[in-house]
Amino acid sequence: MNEVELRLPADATFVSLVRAVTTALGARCDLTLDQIDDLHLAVDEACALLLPHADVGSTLTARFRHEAGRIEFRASVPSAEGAGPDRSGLSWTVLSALSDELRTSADGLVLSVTVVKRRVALAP
Amino acid sequence: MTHHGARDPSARAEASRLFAEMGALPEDSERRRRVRDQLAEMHLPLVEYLARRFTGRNEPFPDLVQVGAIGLLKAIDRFEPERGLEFSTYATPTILGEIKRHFRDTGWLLHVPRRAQELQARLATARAELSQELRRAPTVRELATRLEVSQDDVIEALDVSRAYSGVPLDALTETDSGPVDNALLSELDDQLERVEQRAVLRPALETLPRREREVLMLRFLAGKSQTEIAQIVGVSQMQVSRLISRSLARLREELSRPAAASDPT
Repeated sequence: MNEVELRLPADATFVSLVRAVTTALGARCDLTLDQIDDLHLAVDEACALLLPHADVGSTLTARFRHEAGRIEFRASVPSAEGAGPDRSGLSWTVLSALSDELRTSADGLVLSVTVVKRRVALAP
Repeated sequence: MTHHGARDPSARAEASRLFAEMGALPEDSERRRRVRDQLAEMHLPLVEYLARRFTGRNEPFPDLVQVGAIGLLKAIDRFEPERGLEFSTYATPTILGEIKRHFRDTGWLLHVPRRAQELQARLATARAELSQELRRAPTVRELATRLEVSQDDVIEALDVSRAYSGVPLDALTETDSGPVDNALLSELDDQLERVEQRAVLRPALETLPRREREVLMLRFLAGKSQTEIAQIVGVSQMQVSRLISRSLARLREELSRPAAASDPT
């Protein structure tokens, strides 16, 4: 298993950096272009979901884990406000549609969203 | 080290002789202009050496040398030999500065991915062909093999295609008048009524042009892949991809307006 972790200011303007890494890692995992696009959108949405809850001036941690046929993206921010991510909004709907697995956790200190994308069988 | 052009002692001596001569000549003299040209020519290898460090960015090498040469000329005009600095040491930051400014001004975005833009056109074709052949979207590896380029090149071209719309998105939304004849869409409309989030989503979806709404519903309610949507709606997969990300950004904006914001408490 390979792991890549990015730490960025918890600010929407930095999300594009995560997206750039997404393309490269998605390609490395042999995802199809559709799936890479999906993962891009998932990265956008996961960050959009988390950033409003991030503590001021904190750090967004974006971690990719990839192994044969599977890539896992986890975004997390420190969040003292204790609320979980909004599951009734657009971002959640979109994330559910895009992910093979979708998890969220909030322990009152760190809020995170985990998205798993599995590779489709490549045989034509 | 001879690649900097004026590093060997005799060349260095020649350069300082020319600088001294140039300094003594009046600004508008013909002789001065020729000495200046001579100095420029002599130091061109330095420009080439520095320009080569930027070739990874897809800017044609001759263009970089040309831009760097402007920096070289500026350095020649401003150089003060009496300060005891070697010319190449003095000129290097000026040349680099000029090349960097070129990237900044002319838009790294406009010039750099020229090769990637060329590749992008072929990429779109290959992507469509492979989608047909494989009956699914291709991977980066498959595209790279088909196009006989590296995977990194494909990734770069993909990022370019995301950053630019080769075909303006309007071309897609303009066709709003032509309804997509697909039973699935009317089913989706019914389905949307039942979606848990409809109270939030519906008003936001209503703000989108019909074609965008359709594409979003196909993707997120019907779970169709981008390639499938492209076939249903009759546009390229890349357009679908761009349309989805644009629509989502719009929706997010719409939903974050105070009126539509959900109250967590």
